[in-house]
Amino acid sequence: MNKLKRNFLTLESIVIVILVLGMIILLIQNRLLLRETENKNLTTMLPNTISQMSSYLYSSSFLGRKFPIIKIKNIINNQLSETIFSKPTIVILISRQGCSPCLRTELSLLQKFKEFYSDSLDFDVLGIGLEESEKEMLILRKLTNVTFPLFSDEMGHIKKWCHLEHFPLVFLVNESQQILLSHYPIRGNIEHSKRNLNLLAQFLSQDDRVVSSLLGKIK
Amino acid sequence: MFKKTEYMIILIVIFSLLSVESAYSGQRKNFDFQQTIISGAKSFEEIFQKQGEIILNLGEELIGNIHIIKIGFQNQFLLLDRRFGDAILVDNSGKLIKKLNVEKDLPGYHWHASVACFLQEGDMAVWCGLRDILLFDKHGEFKKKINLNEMTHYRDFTADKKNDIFTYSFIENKISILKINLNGKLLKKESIFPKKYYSFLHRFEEGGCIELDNDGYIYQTHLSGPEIYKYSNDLKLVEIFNRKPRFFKSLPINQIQMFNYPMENFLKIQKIMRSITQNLHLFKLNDSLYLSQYFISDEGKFALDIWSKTGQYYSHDDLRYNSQILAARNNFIYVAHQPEADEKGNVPNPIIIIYKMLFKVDTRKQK
Repeated sequence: MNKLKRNFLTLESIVIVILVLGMIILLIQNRLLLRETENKNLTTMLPNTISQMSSYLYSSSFLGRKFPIIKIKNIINNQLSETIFSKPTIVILISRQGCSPCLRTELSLLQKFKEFYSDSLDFDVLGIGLEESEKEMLILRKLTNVTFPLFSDEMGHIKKWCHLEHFPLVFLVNESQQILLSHYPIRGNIEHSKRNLNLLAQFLSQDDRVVSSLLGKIK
Repeated sequence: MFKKTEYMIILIVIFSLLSVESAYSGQRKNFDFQQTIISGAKSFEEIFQKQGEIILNLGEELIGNIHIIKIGFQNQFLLLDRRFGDAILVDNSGKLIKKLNVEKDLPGYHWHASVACFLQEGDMAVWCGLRDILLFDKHGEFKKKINLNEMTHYRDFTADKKNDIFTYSFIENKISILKINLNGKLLKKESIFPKKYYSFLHRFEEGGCIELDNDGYIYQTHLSGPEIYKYSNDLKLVEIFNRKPRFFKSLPINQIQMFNYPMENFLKIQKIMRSITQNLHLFKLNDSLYLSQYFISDEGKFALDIWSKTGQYYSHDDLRYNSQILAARNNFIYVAHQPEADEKGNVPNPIIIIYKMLFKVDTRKQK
């Protein structure tokens, strides 16, 4: 019994030592990364890995949830429609809160994505503005040259539904309103967005073996 | 006839009458010179008259919003879209000179122009949120990168005749006014801001401005207070002008509780911003007058104060207007107007409208 206890204690101490060593290594790594990124923006001070993990962790809370059916208004022709999707749809949520440069980049990337895959894959893309005025949405459309439709959620249903803090948020929603994928971009890390769009393409192609490297395709 | 002493008395009386008259006329001239305006004005049009428009001819370049316009000494305009980080240099007819960027010179640089100023020779200093200032020449060509001592968030840049840059920021838990030379060296730092502002630095909003006068004095405002801080060139506080307009809703100090999580702070700040009056801009109207622009959040309108270098205010608290003033110089102010989109949703570039300050004066109403 005593021997077992002693073994257990040694095992415990080994685990503690490994954990402490791991923490020290992480700290040193972080220090080095911080030193490397010293000249980067305040928001990108955090090591990219942590930002990416945070992005995945936060956005993963939406996976499997049903995208709400609400009324949205087209910002150009003012037509009302509902968020009922007849085919897989990429939805980008747009807001003043959050990262505006990321929003611009993400919209431009989505436009390129749409152009690139529109012949080979069957999907829709749309943007929904939560707290953006229609004027601001139109300006965004001008700056990013997007051709996919943009809507506004005047009643603020989506904001209540998701309690969002991070914007913009990108979802892939299937025909049964289920969210299959979601991500939010990281400022100054365009590769993160491209990786996620690559994943989106894989989901849309419904073939896990297809590894279409968007990193190479979308420039 | 008069005696000698009576002559003397008459002469003294005449001289004193003359001196009183000259003093009075001098005062009248002084009032004219002061360009005293607003006291009786109740609308924007009573103070400013539309003079013309600058239609931007940007070729293929696009600009979303214009948040601030910096006017150069050779009448170039630097248009800043702080939301998307664009900086576009145009001439005084609105023709594109160059859209500033450093893609070729500093590949991978995280460009997001948020603060800028003109230097004496027409060069420009631009800050993109990083630990350096980027210098451009008057044609918009990149010149060099200047490393800064401090990694912080700068609010506004203004350069003096020696090209030293004045700015203010949140450093070492204090809001400080800074003087930086073009080698990036911090020449002087001063912090006299009330502690109530320390925990509330507005990183995402407008506000927090610095202007200079011809004598080298520096004037500074903070987003959440109506005070104007006047410093000497070596950053010694000279005076605080403290007129609180009737409409001004100050920062509710007891409600400020910052969180460690930046996004939470951001949302909290947004909420607070919607409940207070924001001291948005500070512009130099001419050699003697300055303009503070406020945003009254709950009304969604702008208001202004016009004040002199000595702290004399010419304002009307009931005056409101809708279009934000983005720049001022030589009695002209500049306002951006966004034309409506066409049927297809295409939005044209904004137009800059020029107004001239009128000199309608009702000096009797001045206090």
